[in-house]
Amino acid sequence: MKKVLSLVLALALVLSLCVSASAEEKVTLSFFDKNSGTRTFDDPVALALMERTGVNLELVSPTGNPGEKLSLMLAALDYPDIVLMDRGSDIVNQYIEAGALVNLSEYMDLMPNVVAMYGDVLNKTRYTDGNNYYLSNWYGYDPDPVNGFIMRYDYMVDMVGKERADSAEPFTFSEMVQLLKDWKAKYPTIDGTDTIPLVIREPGSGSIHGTFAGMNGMYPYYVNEEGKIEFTVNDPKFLDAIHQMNELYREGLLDPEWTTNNGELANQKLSNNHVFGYVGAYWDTWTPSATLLAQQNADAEYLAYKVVADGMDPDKTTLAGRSSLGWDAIGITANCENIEAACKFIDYCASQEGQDLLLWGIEGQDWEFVNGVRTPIGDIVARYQADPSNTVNDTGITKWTWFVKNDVHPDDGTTCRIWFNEKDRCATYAYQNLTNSYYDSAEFATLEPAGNSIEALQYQKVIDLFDQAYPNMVNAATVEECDAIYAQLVADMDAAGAEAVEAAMSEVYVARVELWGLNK
Amino acid sequence: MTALNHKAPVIKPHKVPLKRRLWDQRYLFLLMIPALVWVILICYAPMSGLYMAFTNYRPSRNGYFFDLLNAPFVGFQWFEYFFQNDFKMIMRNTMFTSLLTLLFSFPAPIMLAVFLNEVKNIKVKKFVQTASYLPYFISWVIASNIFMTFLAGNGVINDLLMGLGLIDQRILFFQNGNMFWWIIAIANTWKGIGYNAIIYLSTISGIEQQLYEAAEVDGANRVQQIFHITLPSILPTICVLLILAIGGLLNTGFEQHLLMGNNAILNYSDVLDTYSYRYGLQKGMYSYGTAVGLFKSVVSFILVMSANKITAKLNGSALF
Repeated sequence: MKKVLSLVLALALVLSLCVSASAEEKVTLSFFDKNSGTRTFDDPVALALMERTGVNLELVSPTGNPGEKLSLMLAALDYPDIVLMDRGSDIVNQYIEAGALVNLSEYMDLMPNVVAMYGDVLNKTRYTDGNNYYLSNWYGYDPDPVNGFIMRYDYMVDMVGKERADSAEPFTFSEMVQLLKDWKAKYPTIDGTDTIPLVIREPGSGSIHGTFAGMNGMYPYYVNEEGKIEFTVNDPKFLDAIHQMNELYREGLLDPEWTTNNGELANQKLSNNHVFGYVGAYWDTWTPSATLLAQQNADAEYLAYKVVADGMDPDKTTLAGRSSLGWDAIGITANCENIEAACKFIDYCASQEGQDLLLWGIEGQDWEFVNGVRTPIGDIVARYQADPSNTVNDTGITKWTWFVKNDVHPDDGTTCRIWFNEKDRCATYAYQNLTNSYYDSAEFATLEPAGNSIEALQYQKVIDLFDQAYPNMVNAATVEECDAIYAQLVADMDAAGAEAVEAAMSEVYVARVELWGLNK
Repeated sequence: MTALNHKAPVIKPHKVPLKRRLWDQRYLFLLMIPALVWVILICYAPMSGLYMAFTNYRPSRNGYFFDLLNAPFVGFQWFEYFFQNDFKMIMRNTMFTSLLTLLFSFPAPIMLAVFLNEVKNIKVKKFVQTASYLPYFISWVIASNIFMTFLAGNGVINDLLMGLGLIDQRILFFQNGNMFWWIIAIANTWKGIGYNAIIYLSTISGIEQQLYEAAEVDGANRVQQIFHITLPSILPTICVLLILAIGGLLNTGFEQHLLMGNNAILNYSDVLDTYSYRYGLQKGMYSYGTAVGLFKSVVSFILVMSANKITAKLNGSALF
């Protein structure tokens, strides 16, 4: 008996050694994703990705402000193997200048799928020394709709009739104002609560809300007649856009507490039954719509409508600014001890197979080929439409959006994400109504002066001045007060050195336009 | 009270050789080593980074000290930019918020401690003490949310004011810069009142009971006892805490400003701490952020020394 026991124990010991040896062979890579929030890397897609790449991925949580974490990691040389950061932010250049990112150009032969998928994007994302230090995320031309007036469909039918509510014809701003006034007059309170005609989120930094800029045909910067860059306050249409927002505020049509509406607060308000509409991206209202559809009626859903400034050509709006060079930058850091493994991991993620895993899920479980066309299995899309957040979390599909290419599949024409292959009503209205409004914002990205310099401080000061004045212009009690704040803003920006900053940005912009062969 | 420089009789030390004295106290020195290491590592070593304020520091793969020592020296460039641009606004916000906080939060715990001392019902006393002490343990994230919910357009405070007929239109507290300073001052006071009161309560508990008994015999009522016994007895403690409070005038708080502020009132909510955080950490302008932080430290140091001197002159009590 003792011999048997000894044999079993010895066998167990040998087996455990073998297992640990094979476990050691699996490469571990740490990955910082600024968008990952509190999500955990343990869903079916995550497990499949690790199995297919032979990489054990450790996700580094952004914990709080991702920008701050990236700065701290850079200062302490404590960055993980792979980092995903905001491509439009100066932090990318800081990482490159610090030598924190590996020169990927030297490893392109290890990433054939990256070369094939990214194509010309690699040329446009080269650093000033001609090398690629990062790969874009959400790259490629993407003429999908973005911003608009996202209105409750049942109220729209109630106020303008079904035919108009279903029509793709844009509303003029005056028409929308009247509609909001009429709704407020008809529904001053709902369930004993004061109604809010329009909710918008708190202001971002450095620009007005995309919908109001877009309905007036504005861009992130104003390009003057000489082809030079100026801040948007100098755009002749800027004050029109501000006046429109101010009118909504003065007429009591805008949520008076919009300046403190973070995403969660806005969603809470939109999920209650006393809001008519939202101004922003059409996907921002998915979660509130799901709540309302479950609690109210089958038409209690926020759908996108195009609103244009009075006298504006609807085809010249800029409601969908998207960068063909992507939103994020993903790079391998100098701390990575196994660059070859990191390159192979990246190459798999960027490949069509990797993209399908990340954005469509597991073949045979979430989707399958039917007559050569990718087809979702079962009710997965319906589940998503009913409860987007939980379905993404449970399945892992589109939970990890890395190296995403905005394109349809070249073999069957299906969309890059499973959820959008069958458009629900929300997407259908967005694609129907928010048309002819796309522009590529890549040319305007990362123009700001970099790093520790007086110009960078001046730039930040100008942005601070803008951020302070913008909500106050919108919330002004009169048009005259609004104009006075605007005049003061322009004067303050000039005093803060806006002209010098614009000159520095123009230099980069003009060179970029020439390099990319953009006809300006 | 022992920390104060009361004119105590000077005791001349015995003339024992230094080496002998050190050897005799070797175990005490041994005990002191961990604290000494802590102070050197945590308090003094990071001060080397202050040099960053005079350079154009950019991190690289060469390591912190290499980058720091090889960064281009720019003198007072960052200080000059700060003084020429945002200094006035940031100092105004910092000082107003701090002074308002001092105005409320300094006398409040003294009053609470004195009142609590007068409460004879032990259960009530314990309850009030615990209730006032609790906010100190709540994180600013939660405390800020409480204030933002209470002061929201449809919050309890607005409901109350509307219900009482004191206002016709709801007040948007967080869109009015002037109100922000008051909100912060009240929030700071609410959060710290119980904690600070404990220090005064412990001092009060050390007052000789015979003094009160004697005062009673002399016919002093409760209010007179407070003014003639309690307050004079805790005056040295009040002085120490006042010195510390004045020294911390520029430490007006960080999280509360960051969490309760918004862009509409940024020109009121931005204080030294949030400003250096925004530029230094969020924007990665390490040198500029350090320069602003160094300026704050220097001014705080001057304030502490001045307050210490003034207090020493006024009533003979000083911290050092």
